[in-house]
Amino acid sequence: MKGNSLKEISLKHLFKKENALFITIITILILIIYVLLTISNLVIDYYYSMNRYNYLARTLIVEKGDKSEKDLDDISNIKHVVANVSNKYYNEFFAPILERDEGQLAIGAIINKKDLKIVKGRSPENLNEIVIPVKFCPYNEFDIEKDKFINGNKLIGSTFTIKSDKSVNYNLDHDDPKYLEMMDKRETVTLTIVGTYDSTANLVEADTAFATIKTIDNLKSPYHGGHGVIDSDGNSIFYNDEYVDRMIRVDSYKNLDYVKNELTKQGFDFWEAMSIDLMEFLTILLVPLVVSIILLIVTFVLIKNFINKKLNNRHTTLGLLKAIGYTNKDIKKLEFTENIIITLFCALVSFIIYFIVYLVVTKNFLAIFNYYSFTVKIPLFLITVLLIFIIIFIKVINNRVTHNILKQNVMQLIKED
Amino acid sequence: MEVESLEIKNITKKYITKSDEVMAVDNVSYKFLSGKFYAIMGHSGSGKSTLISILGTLEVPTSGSCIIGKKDISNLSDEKLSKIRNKNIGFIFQNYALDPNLKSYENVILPMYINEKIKKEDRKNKAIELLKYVNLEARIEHYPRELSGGEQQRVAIARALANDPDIILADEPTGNLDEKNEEIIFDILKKISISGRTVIVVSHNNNILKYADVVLYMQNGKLGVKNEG
Ligand SMILES: Nc1ncnc2c1ncn2[C@@H]1O[C@H](COP(=O)(O)OP(=O)(O)OP(=O)(O)O)[C@@H](O)[C@H]1O
Ligand SMILES: [Mg+2]
Repeated sequence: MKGNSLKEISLKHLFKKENALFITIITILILIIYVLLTISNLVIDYYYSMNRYNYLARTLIVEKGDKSEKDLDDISNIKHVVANVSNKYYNEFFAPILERDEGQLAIGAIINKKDLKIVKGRSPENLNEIVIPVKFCPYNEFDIEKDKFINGNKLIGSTFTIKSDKSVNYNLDHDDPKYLEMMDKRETVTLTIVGTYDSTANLVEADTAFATIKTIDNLKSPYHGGHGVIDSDGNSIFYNDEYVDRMIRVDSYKNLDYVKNELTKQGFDFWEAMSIDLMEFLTILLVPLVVSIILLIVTFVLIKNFINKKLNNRHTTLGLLKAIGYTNKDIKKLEFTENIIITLFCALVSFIIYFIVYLVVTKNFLAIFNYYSFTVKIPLFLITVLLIFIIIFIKVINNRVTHNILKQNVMQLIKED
Repeated sequence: MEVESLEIKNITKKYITKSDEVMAVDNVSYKFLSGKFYAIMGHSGSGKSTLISILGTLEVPTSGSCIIGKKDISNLSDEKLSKIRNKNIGFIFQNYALDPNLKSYENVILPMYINEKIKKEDRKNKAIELLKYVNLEARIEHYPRELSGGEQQRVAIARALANDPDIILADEPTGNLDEKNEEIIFDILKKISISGRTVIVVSHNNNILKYADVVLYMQNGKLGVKNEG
């Protein structure tokens, strides 16, 4: 039987009042499943991106403990270690941008040039040169709105002015006149934007610029990150653990375990700069996944009942088709075409609604994701798998129900109504 | 000129259920000729519908053979039997069995979809011709629910004629109709038989005797000839 004719007949059966409820419910269910799959996909994506692509995931902080400086320097000799610097470069330097109301810049140190993917311009080489993200948002994360994002490429060549903390002793009391004087006398530094980098590859916040280690030294107070402790004689002294520990970086995530093993072997204490707990991640993932599986089961039950009811209401028609020369195969195909068209129609309508919602939400409400250089993706793979599952399910149910009906005596089928 | 269109030889149909065995058709042999109007009468449960099913290849007999045209159709596959039903046989049922979602002409087209001999563009015209043949030219675009019982049955007759079959099988075609409509239907069936087809009609109603060329009688699965005219 020709496919065309099939569709012609099927379409006459489809969009009728008695199917409207089914279409509505299935459309809504599939829509919710799409959304849940998007959330699941987001969680998985976030976990893997954070753990694998963010350079912090392959950054280890090695504690000095009782090791000598030479021991610490020798860490560089471990295979796959590409940077071994003071831990003071771990935290970015935060500074208000003087030209911009509420503007803020975070400046990180480039300890391994390869970590940055330069998009336009060049990498910083000289003092007070910076690179900024292509999608640049020089504001605090609590201040994000979608219209605060700037095309970083357009800023290449321009400058920002900030204040250096270099001369400030953070160990002093904040109401100490000396401290206040230091704050007043802070040196103004002009930073030149020499290029842009792809922040999405690293999942770095959109306010983060990068500069050479020398530039950071020129900005950060030596007291930054330190705190006062009382020594054995009862005197207050300054202690800064940021300056004694080391930050090391491994060339790729897959070599992280190797380096960790080596460090352990050599007796170092260390911790990972960033890692998300797998169990925590699975718990977060489980919620949308389980709900979508439950909804999928509900969808399957509804589809099964729909097909069952529809076909069993059509004994006369099915019997008649048999009587006028349709083979069992033809009839199964005819009914399958009908059921698949109706379900795929639901899936399509859901997708259109989903897509519109996706565009509106990601463009307007998910600036925070953009800020963390993270994109909410449409889970095309999961959606494809979902649709394949639904199609197979319909095929199986359709053939089973049709087969059971056509097994009966045709005359009897036709007599029933 | 009498041409043999359908022959059954020693047909038996036994239904075996859990509780008992029913001999619905019991060793029946008969030759049906084209151009004749056959009436099959008999009490309820005598096996008329079962016989019609076998003649129409919808049921496989327990034993015996059935020859349509010159072909023995015993042991044919579902696919081949379907083709024979589509091209050689037209069915008419008591409840019309129209697809409620299709218009009159679309119901008539239904058997044409799977007949590769009828071109796609000719289908609708052919359906309209057939609806004219049963005097329904004014109801071409109507849905079954918009038609009277008699009109619905005429659509069903047009559908039975869709692929120009040699044999028309009707199981109580007027069972749900009043006398006036019954006459209309029998008139059309008569016209069809005169055009050279074999028309076999099961009926309880004696009115059919006026139309039938041959009256057959079934009793306990056995077939008898009451009147051969
Ligand atoms: N599928 C079946 N399974 C079991 N028994 C059946 C089946 N179909 C018919 N029978 C039995 O076969 C016998 C003949 O049935 P059939 O339907 O051919 O009678 P009929 O002459 O058409 O009767 P009616 O005038 O009431 O339509 C009956 O006793 C019936 O119960
Ligand atoms: Mg009967």
